Amino acid sequence: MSQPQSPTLRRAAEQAAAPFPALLAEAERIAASASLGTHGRRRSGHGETFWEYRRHRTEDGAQAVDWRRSARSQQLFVRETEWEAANAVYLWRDGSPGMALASRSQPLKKDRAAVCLMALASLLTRGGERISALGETGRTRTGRTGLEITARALAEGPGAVQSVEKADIVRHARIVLASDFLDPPETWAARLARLNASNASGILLRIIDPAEDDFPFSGRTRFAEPSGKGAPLLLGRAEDARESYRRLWAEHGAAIAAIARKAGWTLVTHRTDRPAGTAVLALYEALAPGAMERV
Amino acid sequence: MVSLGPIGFAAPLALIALVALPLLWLLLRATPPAPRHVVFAPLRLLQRLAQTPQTPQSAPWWLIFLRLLTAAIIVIALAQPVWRPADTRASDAPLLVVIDNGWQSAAAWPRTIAQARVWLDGANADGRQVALLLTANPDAVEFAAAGTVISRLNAAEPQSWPPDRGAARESVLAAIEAGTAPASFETRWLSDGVESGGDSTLARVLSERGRLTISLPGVEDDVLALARVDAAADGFTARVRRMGSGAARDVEITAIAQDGQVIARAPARFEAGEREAEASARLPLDLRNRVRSVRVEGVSSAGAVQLLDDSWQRPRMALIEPEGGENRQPLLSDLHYAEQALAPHAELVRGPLEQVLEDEPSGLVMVDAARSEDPALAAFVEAGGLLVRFAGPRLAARSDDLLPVRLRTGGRLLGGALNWDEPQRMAPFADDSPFAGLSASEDATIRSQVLAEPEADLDRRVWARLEDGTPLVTADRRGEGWIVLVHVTAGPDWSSLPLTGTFPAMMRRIIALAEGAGAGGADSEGTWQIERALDGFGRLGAPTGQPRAIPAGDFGSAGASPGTPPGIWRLGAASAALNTVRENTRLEPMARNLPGALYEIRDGLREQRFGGPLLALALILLAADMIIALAFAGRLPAVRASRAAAAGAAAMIAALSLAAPPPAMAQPADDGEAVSSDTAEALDRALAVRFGYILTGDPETDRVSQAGLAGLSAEVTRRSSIEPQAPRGVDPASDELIFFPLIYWPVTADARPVTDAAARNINAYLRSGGMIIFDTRDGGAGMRGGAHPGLEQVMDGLEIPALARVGEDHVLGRTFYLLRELPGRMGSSDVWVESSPDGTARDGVSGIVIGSADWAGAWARRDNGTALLPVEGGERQREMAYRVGVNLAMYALTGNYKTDQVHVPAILERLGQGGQRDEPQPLDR
Repeated sequence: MSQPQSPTLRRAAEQAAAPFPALLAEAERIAASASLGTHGRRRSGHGETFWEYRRHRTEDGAQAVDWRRSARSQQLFVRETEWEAANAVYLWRDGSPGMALASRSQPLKKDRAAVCLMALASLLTRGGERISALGETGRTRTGRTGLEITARALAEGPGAVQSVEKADIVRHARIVLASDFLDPPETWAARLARLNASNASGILLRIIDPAEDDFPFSGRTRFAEPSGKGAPLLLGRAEDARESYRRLWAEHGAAIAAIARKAGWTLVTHRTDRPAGTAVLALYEALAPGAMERV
Repeated sequence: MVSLGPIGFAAPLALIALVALPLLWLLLRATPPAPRHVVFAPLRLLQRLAQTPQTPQSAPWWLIFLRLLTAAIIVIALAQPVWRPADTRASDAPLLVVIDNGWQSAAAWPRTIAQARVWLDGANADGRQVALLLTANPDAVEFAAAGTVISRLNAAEPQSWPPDRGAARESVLAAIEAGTAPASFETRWLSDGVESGGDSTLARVLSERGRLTISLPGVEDDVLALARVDAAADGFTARVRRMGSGAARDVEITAIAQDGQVIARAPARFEAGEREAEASARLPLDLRNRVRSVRVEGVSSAGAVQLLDDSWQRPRMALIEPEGGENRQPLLSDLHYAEQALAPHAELVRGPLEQVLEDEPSGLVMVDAARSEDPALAAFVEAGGLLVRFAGPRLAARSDDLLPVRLRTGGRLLGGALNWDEPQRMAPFADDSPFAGLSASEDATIRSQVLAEPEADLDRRVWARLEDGTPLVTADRRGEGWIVLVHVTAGPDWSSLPLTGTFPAMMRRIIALAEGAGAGGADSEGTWQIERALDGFGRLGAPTGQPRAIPAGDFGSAGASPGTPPGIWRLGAASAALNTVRENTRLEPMARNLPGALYEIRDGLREQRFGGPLLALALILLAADMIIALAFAGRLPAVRASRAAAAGAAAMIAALSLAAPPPAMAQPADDGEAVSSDTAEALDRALAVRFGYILTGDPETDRVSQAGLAGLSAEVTRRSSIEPQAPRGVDPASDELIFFPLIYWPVTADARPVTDAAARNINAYLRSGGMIIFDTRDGGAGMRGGAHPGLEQVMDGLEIPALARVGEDHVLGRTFYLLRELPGRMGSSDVWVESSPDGTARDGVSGIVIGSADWAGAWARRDNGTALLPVEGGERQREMAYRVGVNLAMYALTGNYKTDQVHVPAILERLGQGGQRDEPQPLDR
């Protein structure tokens, strides 16, 4: 009796679920091409896996001597294990209305940001890191479940700015913020300062739509806020404004870069008309310096 | 009306609006075009910029000029400009416009009406009362406002009969008597220039009431009439008349069939000063019979048409059957031979004499056995019928009255057993005979005949003779009709003439004499009813008005008139044409001394109104303005808004030329064949790697190919660094193949051979390094009994080198995965590649892979990712099939890389681990 309804519901459900698998698949693909995974830190530290024997130094103390190895020779040896400290990485994808824009035939900034972060999340999970979508999935998680939960939040979560401003993070966490960073640089400076206060550091992934960079408009053009609020701006000859706008845009970019540098964060800039893979590589490289060379 | 030089304005007040143009200029300067809407995220940055005031962009001067021009044109058009306005003498006297709308006016009708409209428009502007009188169908004369009369004028049409000026005069007189016409009025008479009865009386009545101006047609509007069309033995002749007698003139006569097809054309030339010309056309009888009307080419007038009726049709011949029938075998029957000879050229009826006479035949055929001396027969001939008689024993025994010549009793026997005469042959036909031009059969021998009595005027009646000069065919007139006697039998009893081809040819010439029954219905009962009427322009159509019926006896004397319009009339089965112009129709110029009349000749110069064209121009300008406005708003993708002084027209031209980029030529193939393709299309194909498949035309096969390659593309993307775009179907005959690294070709058993163009294209593709995977998709079943039928067809035109089975060590098994077999949906079967690809330009890569495992079927997926078709060996085999696909793609794209010895240790190592043969090898170890 409700036969006609059932396919409708099912189709609606499939459509609703459609973007996420697509984003996830793309992120997986990028992650797959980026890395074969990093196992351990490839340096001695706290961990369970054997790393190396080294000569005993005076500051090591007697209890550090590996007697079984040392008995085989005249030297004293210390058994070192690999450093396997898991890092907590918080990912945040800006969900402001401006992020839901795209030039023709380009992906939404929001989606591209999500893809990059999801790919990064996938890579980090393989590396054994603990990840979380900042302000949305609570404590950091690891493993496939953690990845699944985080990825879903990245793809579909609200991405509120409050998550950054009132960040609930463990100390010394790494943070990746993906946004267009169009809020005034001072605002971002304040946000980063607050994060730095909890000893966090990380990466800014700046997503740029080609239209914002190139300003390809001409003729009489009315520019409106993505949020729909505020008065629209009418330009008689948009092409006349191009030079000045590009200058302002460059200044803005420089300001963001300066803030990042001052706060000790890395800035990765990504245009949505470029392949996402490069951005992910850059992110990964910034998070785990030297990881790529070893792969 | 206000005049400025040669331009007048019918509504000059509208010009006041021109004053508003400067105002419009100010407005236009202030109103910029509508903006484009863009949602822009970094608006905050832009707003900082906008704090420097943005002066609204004003339209450039030339755009303002264009718009002002448009406005000015509209204003001027509304003022109803007139070029060379007609001389409108100010007069408020009522105006009577008399128009001759008989068939004579039809050819020049548009010009006549235009002139009348000019007068009426003028009268309308001056507020004069106007009346309209059409002389071919005169109505009551009623003076009214010009506006209402103009609508009557628009409805007026030329009629297919001549004007009746007497009736027109009655109409005017009636109006004067009834007082509906004012005491005095001016008259303008648009005459056709042809004289008719009552010209002077009408002119007198009109000139008594006021000024009378008669406007005569110009020389170019000479009246032409087709006076009559006569059938000739070998075609027809037509006589054309004209009213003027000026310079020489050529006209062309066309004969037209029922379906409008022109059957014959004949030129006619009026010599200078001559008013009649004749045209003759040669036309075989069967074609002539199809002619339904004859026209003067290019003259649309009822007078330039002659409709043809039954009398023109092929004759109806009646074969008189002997009383009691003819009890003979067909091949010995006289009637049979007569019938066979006549059938191609005449409509035949057959029966006893009384019965066939009811069918009103044009001619009767009477063989010897049917001989009759019925008085009806004589009456038939007297009334214009044709009687064809054949001799025979009975006629030889006793002659009768219905003969063209007197016969000697007994006849003549030649070549008999007791006779020393040889059978006679036919002499050639004399030039004055109706048979002239036919060749007398040399085979025909005459053994018996009836002999004519020698008489003084016998020669005149003889149409054909034997070699010794005795008559074979004689003919003579009897009353209106003809009697033709053939001096032998219609069958082969007396001669072999009926067996030769000459016989039907002679019969054909004889029946050309037969007039149709046509108006021969004259003495029958009943009335003629109109079936199709001719309008004034000479077109046949349904009759309009109230045509009368014409009593049968009066049809011959009926002429074209409103009650009896010209056309095709019908009485029972017979149809007859009533034509506008008859033999006795007079076509004389109108007298130039009609009482009280002023004359003028209508020349070609007439005032022209061009408000309409101006408005159209304004619309075009508005459209151009729209396009320019779009360009300014940045909404025309192909046009960059032109800066500064680039004219709007230039912008439009640029738009047009940019919209159609010149087609780029793709790189020509080896044998010089270039496949052109759109640049965008070529770029699209060249910039992305994609697999291709050959479109077979079978939708199911194509669907599987598409789904299979899409599935493979997805898997290859997932598993390797090849990231192909969506696959494409290609037609080797028309598409450029060079962009595809590999092409999948499903070959069905009923595949057709490729065309030459396709074969050239494919061979060029293979030579340039392409790879084609042929898949018979039947698990090898089709190859078991010898060659696969479809594959054989397909391969026929292609350059296929020697092939070899894929061995264990073939590189195809290790380009990405290590594979021992290459299964598809069908499980493993043999796969063939080029046996020694090293010699080719492809660096050791086989351009051809032939298999039968239905790989695409195994790869095929639905949109939602589920498998389309089941696989023989389950999901494990599907996975293997995907690996085969990845290997094929790698093979196509990386070539013989994996045959390199460098990889041998790594491969050996992998092989040595055992049990993992199918695991992927890391690519970049």
